[in-house]
Amino acid sequence: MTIWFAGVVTLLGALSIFVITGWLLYAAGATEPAESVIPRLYLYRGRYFVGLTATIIALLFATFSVIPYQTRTSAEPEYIIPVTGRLWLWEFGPLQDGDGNPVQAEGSALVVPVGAPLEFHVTAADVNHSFGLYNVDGELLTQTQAMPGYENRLAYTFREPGTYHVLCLEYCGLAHHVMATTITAE
Amino acid sequence: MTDDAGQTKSVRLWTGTYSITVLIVFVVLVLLGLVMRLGQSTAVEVSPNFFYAIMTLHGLGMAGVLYTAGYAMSWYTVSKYVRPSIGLMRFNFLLILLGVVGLIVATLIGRFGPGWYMLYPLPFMTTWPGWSIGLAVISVMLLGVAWLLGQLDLLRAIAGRYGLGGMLGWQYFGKGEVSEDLPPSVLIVAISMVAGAATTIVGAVMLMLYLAQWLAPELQFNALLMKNAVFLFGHTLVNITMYCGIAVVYELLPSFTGRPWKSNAIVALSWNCVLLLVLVAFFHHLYMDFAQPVAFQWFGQVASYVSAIPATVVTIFGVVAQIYRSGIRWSFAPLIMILGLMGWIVGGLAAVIDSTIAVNVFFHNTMWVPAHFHTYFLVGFVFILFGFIYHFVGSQAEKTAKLSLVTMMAGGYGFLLMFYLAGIESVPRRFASYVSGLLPSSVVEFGQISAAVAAACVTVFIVGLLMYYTTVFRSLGTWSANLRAGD
Repeated sequence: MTIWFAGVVTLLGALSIFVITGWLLYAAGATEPAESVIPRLYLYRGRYFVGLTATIIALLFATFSVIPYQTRTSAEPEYIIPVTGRLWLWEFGPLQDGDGNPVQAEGSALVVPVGAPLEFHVTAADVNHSFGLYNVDGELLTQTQAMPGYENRLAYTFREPGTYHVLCLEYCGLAHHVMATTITAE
Repeated sequence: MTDDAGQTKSVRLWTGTYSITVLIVFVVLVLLGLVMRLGQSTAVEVSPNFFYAIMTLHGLGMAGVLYTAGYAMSWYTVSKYVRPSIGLMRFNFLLILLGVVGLIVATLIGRFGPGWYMLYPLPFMTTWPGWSIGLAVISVMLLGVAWLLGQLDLLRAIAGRYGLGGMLGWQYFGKGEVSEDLPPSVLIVAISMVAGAATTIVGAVMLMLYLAQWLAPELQFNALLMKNAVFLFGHTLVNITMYCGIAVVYELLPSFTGRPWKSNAIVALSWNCVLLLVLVAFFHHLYMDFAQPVAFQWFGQVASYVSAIPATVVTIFGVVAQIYRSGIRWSFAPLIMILGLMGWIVGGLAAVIDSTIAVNVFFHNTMWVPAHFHTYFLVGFVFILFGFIYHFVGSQAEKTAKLSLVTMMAGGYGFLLMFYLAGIESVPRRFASYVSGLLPSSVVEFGQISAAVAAACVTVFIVGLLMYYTTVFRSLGTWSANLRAGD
């Protein structure tokens, strides 16, 4: 939904810019002294400045509450999945409970539970990668960077059972475009 | 009509030299981009090794050559008011040429391919030979030295006449009349060079650390710190490139409209704010690095959003004050410059949307990212550059030039639309190919189809580009004859 909303806003905004530019190019043809144009223009500019500033403030407040970072008030996950990106594959640790105790056998195929809040604990063994989670329809659901020397915690809840794709979204060299795997949710 | 801005023969000669060199290099880099899109479309087989090498050369080349072009335009423009060093401009041409040759060898022969921002520690960790790493790092250092020296020299020249506070327009914040007007173009160039010099030093330190690790591979540096450094440098470089183009518009547009465009307190305040904002907004490149302090993420979004205020309230309304009912005759030069400003605003809108953290989760490292910066450059800064060069050489080929403009707009916006749509379809950026069976099928299909359409649009753009080049190159004879006959 966010993607399509952003796309529509961009399209409408771009079309508005095209129309306004076209109108300005056309309106430039008539002649009026600058002394009479500028005071009118400054009036509109003042209103535009107030409107734009108010819009920016409103959008900042509206969007700051929707951030992907773990804070002190974030809910504890029910499950944890360790993820390591290395040239050029993804390694998953066994599924863990919220306290870090394994709930699946080491070496078994990773199956994540549907409906439970979980966290991917993402790191990298070598260069920067990026953990990009896609559904089977090709929609990017969420992502975080996989950084050497750091662990990024990505909270997510799978809503539907099925197969999900993990793509690397941070360019990492020769086989970056084939550094992909799948996760099963049940 | 030849240039009559009063710049000396040497200034005109070196501006012409840089301009023609930029045009030649630019079309080669566009062709590299075309090869990339053809490879992604599967119309042409491009090995990943070669794809990522030309991706690196295309990115480094475009960022570098367009900054150099912006610098040269600004250098020429402010030479009307101050005296920068001709000797340094000549020396820098050689340094930049050496740097470019080094990068071409490192990428096309060594297949050095970490991408244009060479994100640490990727340059040291994978498949290209060690010599190509050292050559690339040293080549970028040569470019950085040339850029830093150029930035400092322009600051010396401007501050020498207007003073340190004066060059930033601070005299407009006091009471009473200012003793000497500061042309807006000089203000903008000064702001750009302050930001550029400060962050090029950061880039230089980063490159020295890269050189150290190349010589002593056991060294390791903090990846997050290095990422902050490279984006502080790179983000500023591409933004001040745009500002240099805008400075030229502030200077040239009045000669077409007949209306003066002067600095005042609002203009000075606006551009001083831009200086602060451009140095903070770079944090928007690290939103998905969750290890980054959250306060920095918020700074990035606030600065990115607030940047829209000086850009539109002052510059765009200033442009409107210039052209609305001015009776201007839309010859090629002012027309393409206005359309370049339009492209800047369209790219800016897409950028501000992506600078929203909540949206960036879905757009980061998808094709939306190259969509917005190609918009800024291809139909933004490059259009302003083309208007400047056309006017500078005194071309009169209006019909051909306007036809080239229509062609470049059709091809350019078509090419960009494919990036935006691919971003909406979550197609990742920087993939050499889209492999069936490994990726979601919609990503594969849309990635390939959009790349094919983009390649066709680039071809249309190149046709327009070459038409534009004829308008410049066929005026060079008259231009150089006038130069020889001049002062």
